[in-house]
Amino acid sequence: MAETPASAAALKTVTLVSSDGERFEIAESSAKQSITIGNIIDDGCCDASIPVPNVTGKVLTKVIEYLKNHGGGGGDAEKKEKDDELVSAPVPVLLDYILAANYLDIKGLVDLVAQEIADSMKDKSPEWVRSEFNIENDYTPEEEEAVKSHFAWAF
Amino acid sequence: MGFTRKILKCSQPENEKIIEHDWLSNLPSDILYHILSFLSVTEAMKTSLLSRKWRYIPDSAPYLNFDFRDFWNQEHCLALSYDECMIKFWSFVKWAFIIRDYSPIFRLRLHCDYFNAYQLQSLFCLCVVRNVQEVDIFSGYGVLRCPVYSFLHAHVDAFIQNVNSLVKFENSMGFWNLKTLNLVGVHFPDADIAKEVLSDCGVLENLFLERCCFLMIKFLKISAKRLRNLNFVNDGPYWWGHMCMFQGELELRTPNLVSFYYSGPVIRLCQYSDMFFLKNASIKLRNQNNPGGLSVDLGAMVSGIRHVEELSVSPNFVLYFSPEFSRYGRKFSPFDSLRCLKIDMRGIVDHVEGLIKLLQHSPNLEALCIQFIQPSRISHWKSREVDVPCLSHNLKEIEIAVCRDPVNFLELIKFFLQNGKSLEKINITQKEQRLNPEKFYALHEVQLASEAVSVSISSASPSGRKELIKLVYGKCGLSVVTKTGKSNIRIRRSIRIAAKKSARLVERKMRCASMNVGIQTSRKTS
Repeated sequence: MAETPASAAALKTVTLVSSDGERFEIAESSAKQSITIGNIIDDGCCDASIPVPNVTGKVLTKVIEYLKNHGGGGGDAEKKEKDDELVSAPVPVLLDYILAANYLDIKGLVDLVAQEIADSMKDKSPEWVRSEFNIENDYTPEEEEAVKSHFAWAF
Repeated sequence: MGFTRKILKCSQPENEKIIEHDWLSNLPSDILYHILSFLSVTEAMKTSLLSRKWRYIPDSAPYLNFDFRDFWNQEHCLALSYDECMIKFWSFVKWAFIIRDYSPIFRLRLHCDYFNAYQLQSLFCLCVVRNVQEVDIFSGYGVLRCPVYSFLHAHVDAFIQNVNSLVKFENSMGFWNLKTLNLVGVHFPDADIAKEVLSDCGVLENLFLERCCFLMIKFLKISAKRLRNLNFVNDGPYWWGHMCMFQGELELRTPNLVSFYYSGPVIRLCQYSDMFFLKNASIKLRNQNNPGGLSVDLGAMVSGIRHVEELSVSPNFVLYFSPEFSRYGRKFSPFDSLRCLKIDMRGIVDHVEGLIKLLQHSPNLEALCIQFIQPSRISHWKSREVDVPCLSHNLKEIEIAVCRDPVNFLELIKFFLQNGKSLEKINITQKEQRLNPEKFYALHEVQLASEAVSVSISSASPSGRKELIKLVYGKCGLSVVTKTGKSNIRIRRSIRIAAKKSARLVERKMRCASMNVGIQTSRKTS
């Protein structure tokens, strides 16, 4: 069956290979939401499969789910539901997503996760944020006071 | 088995260790800045207390969001009155600038109910001094006064004013250094101010005018040599009804305009408008008022955009091309450069006639996409042979999207089959599976203008299109191919000279065939 160019492009897929060797197939049009992958495809260097060295299989699965969700048609409500599910992951996982999305240059996903992280930090005390994100407080009490008075308006 | 389990057990404690790591602080700084860009300045500053690594991050974050609502909710403001808090807020804004280091500020965003002209002016001066590239202002309800002074001559690249109310421009001078200007809900109190803002726009590349009020203005000239994108949503703010949209004459001196998006009633486009390099345009015609005396001429608008290569239009646009609506434009210039046409339409007679006329005006069309929306009434149309140049020479593929089973849909397909001399493919995508493919069998009788046309019916899903059935119309008849790729039915074309007998024969064949296909397709689709 001869396919005309338009429908052929719609069905063309690319294979992404994660750092731990897992292979994922995804429609080319969806994959191009990642500027990094889009550039690789356009440069024509990787016809067979595209390696994604910085991203593990677990994280890449979720990233690909995001790309598929936002790839074509479908209701906004469904998209939002799936996005909400994605960002309900625990904090360390969210940080993996944002690193992967940053590397792959997927603006929508970076914004989504960044907004979620920012929302979780809103209206919370520094102590709470430290415990949530496992940040060690390496200030001495005097230094802390100095910072507080420097940012007097914010505290 | 036991061996692998042991290995898993060994790696688990390592995984737990990793989770306890402080990943957030170790993220690259541009990601941290991006996260902080979603927080207001007050919130962002608090992060400096987290650890030593965070000490200077808020100071150098390039996105500043000042939000009065956040400030107002703070503990030390609870005892203050609204006005006192407002004064404190403005001092805070200025202070936030002063304590920063000299890292660049890409964007300044300000959410505030009330603007004092003097305060706004001093803020803008600070923006200039600190080379802010984009300024976004969001204000609350009420009619406000916004002074836009010559400060914007300096380095501000983008100025976005999003309001829930009308903001009056005062004493403004042209935006000489601005690249992006986005005005929402702005009230131009008289023609002079509009002239000052929009003529001689220096380096302006992107202009968005949305729901602005042009109540007293009869003539608007937008003169911007470097303008590339113009987005004009000509609809007044919703609480004013549709009264204050622009209904005069528009002159566009925008010789480098590449993309033009317009939504609103038909307006008179001055004949001196110059859009020679226009590549794509989207015209959505709605809210057509006909105040007494003003004659509406779509022809003038069409003439203005005639060089376009890609055009996307709303149902009313198509409607005004039909013979019944000739009062909206008697003479339409042809779209000589038009390659791709996207149309939203209903399947009623006037729309179909309008579509045919529009196609006749697009002799070099290569791609056609039609999106059907539900008609408001039923009217019947019959296909006929018409000379349409693009259908004769260029148009090879047509994309059609339908919601349900539109009125006159089959007749329209018949029209394309009858007149599309270069036609090769029609792709139909349906949202809900309402189309009955068997209805398409009747089209095998049509006198095909081209050699063969394949009509594919697919259903739309978030992951792409799924082809359900493909019908290939050829000179000898019709073959139906389902998604498995096996051809399981051929319908021979009846010879017209033959008597009723053979017609009845075909009917019988079709009935048998449809029964077979019914059985086979139900088997395949399971």
